[in-house]
Amino acid sequence: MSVPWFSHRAFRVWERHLTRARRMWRLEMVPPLVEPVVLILALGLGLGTYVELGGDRDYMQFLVPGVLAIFPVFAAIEEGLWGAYFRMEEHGTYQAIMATPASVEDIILGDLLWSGTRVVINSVMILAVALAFTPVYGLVTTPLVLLALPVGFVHGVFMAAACMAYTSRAVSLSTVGFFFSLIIAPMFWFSGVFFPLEGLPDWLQTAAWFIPIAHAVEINRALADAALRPSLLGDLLWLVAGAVACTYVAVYLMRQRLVK
Amino acid sequence: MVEPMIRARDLVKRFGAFTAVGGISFDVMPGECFGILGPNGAGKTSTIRMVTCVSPVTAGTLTVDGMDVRHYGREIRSILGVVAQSDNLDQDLTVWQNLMIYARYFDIPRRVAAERAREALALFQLLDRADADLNQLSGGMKRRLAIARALVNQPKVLVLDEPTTGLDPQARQLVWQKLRSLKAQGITTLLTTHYMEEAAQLCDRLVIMHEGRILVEGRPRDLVREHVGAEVWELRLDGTEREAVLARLPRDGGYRVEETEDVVYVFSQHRDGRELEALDQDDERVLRRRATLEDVFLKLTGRGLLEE
Repeated sequence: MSVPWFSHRAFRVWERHLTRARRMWRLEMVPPLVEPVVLILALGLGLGTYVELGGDRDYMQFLVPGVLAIFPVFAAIEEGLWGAYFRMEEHGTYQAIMATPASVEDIILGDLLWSGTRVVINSVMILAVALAFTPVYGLVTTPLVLLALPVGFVHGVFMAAACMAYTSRAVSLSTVGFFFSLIIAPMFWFSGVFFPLEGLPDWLQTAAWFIPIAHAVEINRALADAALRPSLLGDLLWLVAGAVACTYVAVYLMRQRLVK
Repeated sequence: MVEPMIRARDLVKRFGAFTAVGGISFDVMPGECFGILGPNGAGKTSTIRMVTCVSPVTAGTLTVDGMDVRHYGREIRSILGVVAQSDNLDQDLTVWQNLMIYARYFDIPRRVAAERAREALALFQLLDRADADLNQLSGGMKRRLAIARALVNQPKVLVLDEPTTGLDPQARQLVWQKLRSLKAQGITTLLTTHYMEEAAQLCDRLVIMHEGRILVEGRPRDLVREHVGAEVWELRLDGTEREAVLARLPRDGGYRVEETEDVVYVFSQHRDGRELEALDQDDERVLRRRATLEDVFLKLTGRGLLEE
């Protein structure tokens, strides 16, 4: 077997996903737009009126950067879990591509790049919604929020790769779901999207530090407030390092699964 | 001397303690259609997967167009057209997109890819379906599309794993016809099948595999003559009738008799069948027919005859 490594063919795989998405955008673009809007309305306008945050900050202003950090990433999680499982086990997509000059590395990297791309697309949609609400709630006040897009890309690659590493060991579709219920859902609640983590007990704060989403939330909030500080570099580094490490792990495990 | 397109020597594939392919050797010459026959689990697909460089070789040597599969996976895959056993077309893309996207994995420029896609669809009578969803295609159309897709990189070798399994007779005939016309154009073909008629129709040479080993190799007609002779009598007789017929056969051999619960098979081997002419040819229970590859296959792989 030839020494395998990434090649430009990862972009061909990405191209495949783009072609598919352009056919199926109605299916894939609507939920990522509707869900966060419903959540912002329910929590921001409903719950938010009962929430007092320190300072003059409105709950809506607190919530939206967090929503921007987590909701687009669901698309990447979906790609890494169910998407990868279907391509691997049900549709034979990976097997078909493996018969071409593209390698397993190209396939997995192409998937991850696409996952990051989906996060960027979905982030743009949420930003557009936030912009629409801005005259009333003052949500988007600085062009710095655009930096949330590359952060989302990295975050998306991270999460998709972590999920894919798990999927490489999944034996059935239902075991794929476990990861979502047992790992992703708790991360979702304890990532600081809905309430400041500072109020949590120390041990829970420490645990929350390991949640990738928490770092993306931290960055997005600072971007929205145009309040950049050096510690954000640490958050960014965490995301980049995690994305790179998980990509390698996902590729390694997927190679074990696919090449027998 | 012409170099073989595919050369396997003492090729082994193990999965843990299980040996799927137990040391096989064969050559596929350029322009030849070479078949690997065998019952399920014989090691056919494992062999194919090693040839297509998606499964590592455990031991032995295997080259494709002179390149070692251990070192030139990408290069080899770029000259192969692979049609897998299960349908692995891209269900989320149209017919046209299936070909175009696949061509991109081979770095074929879009314009060239479009030309080839059009040619391939025309050849497989799918041009009017170019914009169709995959779920609008019948099983036969999907298989034709899978073969068309395997041709977009103008492969030197077409590799087909059970190309007509699950197709109805019309669809199967059409696929066979297309494969014969590709062969006439000089493409080398490696195919696995457990349909003996398919092998007889398409293959210049073939091997029969069983439990990871090659039992025989040869041209279909030669194998039939050598292993079962020209003719077979299938007699649905039992009891005294059965014994009466068998008693008529000469003791010194020349016929091979195989008895199953309800049928006696008498293979002519090296005889002309004179002794059996007395049988009532109008009796529905008596069938005299030409020997086929299926007889060879069953003799070699089936009914426990190997474990003598």
